[in-house]
Amino acid sequence: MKTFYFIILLLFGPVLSADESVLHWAADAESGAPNVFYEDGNLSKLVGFEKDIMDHIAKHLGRRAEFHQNDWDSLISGLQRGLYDVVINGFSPEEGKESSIIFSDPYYACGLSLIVRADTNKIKSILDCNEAVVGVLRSSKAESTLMSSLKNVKVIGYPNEYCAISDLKDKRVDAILLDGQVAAYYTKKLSGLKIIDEVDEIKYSIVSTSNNSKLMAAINDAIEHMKRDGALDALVSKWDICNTFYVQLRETSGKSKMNPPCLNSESSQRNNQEIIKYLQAFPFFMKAACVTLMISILAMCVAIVLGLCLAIMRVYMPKWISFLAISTIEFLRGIPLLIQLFFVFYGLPCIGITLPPLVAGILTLGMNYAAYEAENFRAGMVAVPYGQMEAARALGMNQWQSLRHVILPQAFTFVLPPLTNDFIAILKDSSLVSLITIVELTKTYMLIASNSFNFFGMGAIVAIIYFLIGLPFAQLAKLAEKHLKLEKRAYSSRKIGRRYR
Amino acid sequence: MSDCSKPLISISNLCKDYGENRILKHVSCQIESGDLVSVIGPSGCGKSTLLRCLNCLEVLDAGEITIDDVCLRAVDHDKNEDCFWQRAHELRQNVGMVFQSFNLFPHKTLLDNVTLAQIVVKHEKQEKAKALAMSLLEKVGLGNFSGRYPWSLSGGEKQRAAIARALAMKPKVMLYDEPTSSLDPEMVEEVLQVMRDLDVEGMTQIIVTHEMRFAKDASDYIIYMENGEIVEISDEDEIFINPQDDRTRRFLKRYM
Repeated sequence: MKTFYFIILLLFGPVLSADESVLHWAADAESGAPNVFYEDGNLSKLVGFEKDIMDHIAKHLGRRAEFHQNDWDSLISGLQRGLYDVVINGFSPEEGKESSIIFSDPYYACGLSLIVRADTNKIKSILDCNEAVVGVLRSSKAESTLMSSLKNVKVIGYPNEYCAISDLKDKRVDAILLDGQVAAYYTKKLSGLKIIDEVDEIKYSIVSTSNNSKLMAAINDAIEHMKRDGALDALVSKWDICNTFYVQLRETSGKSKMNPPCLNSESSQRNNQEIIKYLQAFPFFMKAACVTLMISILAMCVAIVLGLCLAIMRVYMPKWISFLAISTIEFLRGIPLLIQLFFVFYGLPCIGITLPPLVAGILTLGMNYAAYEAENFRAGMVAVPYGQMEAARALGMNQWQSLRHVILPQAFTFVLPPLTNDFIAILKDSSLVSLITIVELTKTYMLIASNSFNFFGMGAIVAIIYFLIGLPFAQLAKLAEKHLKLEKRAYSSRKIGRRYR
Repeated sequence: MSDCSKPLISISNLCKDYGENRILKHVSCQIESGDLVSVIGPSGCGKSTLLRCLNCLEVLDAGEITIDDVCLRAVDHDKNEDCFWQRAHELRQNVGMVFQSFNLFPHKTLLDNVTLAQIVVKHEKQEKAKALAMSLLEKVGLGNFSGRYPWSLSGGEKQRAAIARALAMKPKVMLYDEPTSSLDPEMVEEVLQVMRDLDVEGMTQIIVTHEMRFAKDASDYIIYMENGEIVEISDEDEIFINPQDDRTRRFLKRYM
């Protein structure tokens, strides 16, 4: 019973904790440097320019700042869904077309920098990018700028900065266009790149929804306060991201004593203590593995229960119920899991059903897999000889009793191998729930790897963890299969295989 | 015990169709308590179907069946299905069935095979069900096999266990659907012996069989069926020595 309450608390915890003393803010920390990122991939050290700003604002509001991770693509959807109060992630007012979205006064400004490989001579300015392949962040200001100003440019949208930059280094793109301070951070951190041009101006604003206008007024007040007492300038120089656009912004809004520094001034020394990074990452991987495991097990429970009901409905119930079951199965397995996930998480709130992320994730995964399990169970039940049902009925059992005591126990032995199969599949498919703000194993890998520039080593670790999680279940199923086997055949399945080879 | 004037089983005008095919054509007969009746006839004559109708494994399309005062009418099935199945359930309580292919529950031990229905259907206590099961298994000569699983038994042992399982429900009638057809010849006798023993105890038994010798030796009387009809009901000696109907004579000539 205690575990039951614990699970309930875990599932609904995020909803229950929605009180006034906390300022929930969201950003994408996946290669979010220098705005919001994990220092050296250590998930206990959330840092960054925007993180500091949020701390200041929260302090000003007398609230505690709480960070929520979400994908860049989904940040605004999550905001509209009420997962958090505000989003701060380099959004500029032009990007919001939705009327329900409101923007704060700008807290920062920068240009778009064009980065090329250090040995590139062909591209000297943004105008040379016609006919070239240029990488940008998906649905960013850079993307729209590039599309509107150059006719023949081939634009490739990336989910995060690191992917874009590594593709540049690997010569898959000729140049990339990024926000100035981000470009500066990465050219400093990674060698072999240079910034050659700066265009356009972007102003950064905090985003919220129109029903939070009171909060937004308070945030504007806080930003104004930070501008006046020099806290904002201090943060800008702390993160070394001052530029001419920022200076202009400060001049129009009052005094500024800052000078834009020249870029590429020094290259930071590379941290060669890789082992420490791995050790730091380990507890986070373990925690994430637990999340993945919990989601998978609970989703599998949902799938088995629901699948069994559907299978029984399909095989043993009157025609119209059977038809209902068939339609449900076909519907659930005919639609991509990803679409179901987005529909349940971001779509259902439109009709008043707002589920917490974990519940939505587990239910969607469970429902999707229920369709497959239903067919597995059906195959199992049909595989039990019909005489078994007749014998049970002849003994006076009713249909349910026959199913419960005679058919299902036998069907289960047939179903166990494909069930194990599906559990391992669900373990991997559970990575999709990272798209609805849940930080599980895959997301943890992305966060750590993109912040520590180590996709190889961390990737190997994650691969091993996934493998190790699945392994005991495969073994467990093997044991259960052995135990449940209906007939102790003289030859095991492997021996039969050899015999007829 | 029902009183003597009233037969234990009475079948009247029983019809059964499979799609367009009429398998049973207005079958009527009466069977007294304590009788051992053999039903013989060529394959496809409807003798198995008749037996399955008696246990509601097949729904009758016309006519009615009465077993120990529980009456099942085909018209009820069309009019009031719930009521029909309620009756069918009552009727089954009095009828035990043994199948050609044993149909033991492979995931359970012999003891559990015999106790399962007692516990599930009759809500017997575990100990009581076990005690009855053990005594029945001993009766069919499987007292030492109670912990074994069906896969470890021979065909004859399986069929004896199936008989014990049916007996555990304390039926008034036992139906056997070709109980020895899938057995090796040397195992047939042990199963037939169990049935003879039950006959001595006064159990009413109906056996669909191809064992002409057993039918002749053990039956009180024999029903000969052909083409969905009862052709002849007669004394076991009479039918073999002096069949009344031409069709019976032709059939028996092939066997004897």
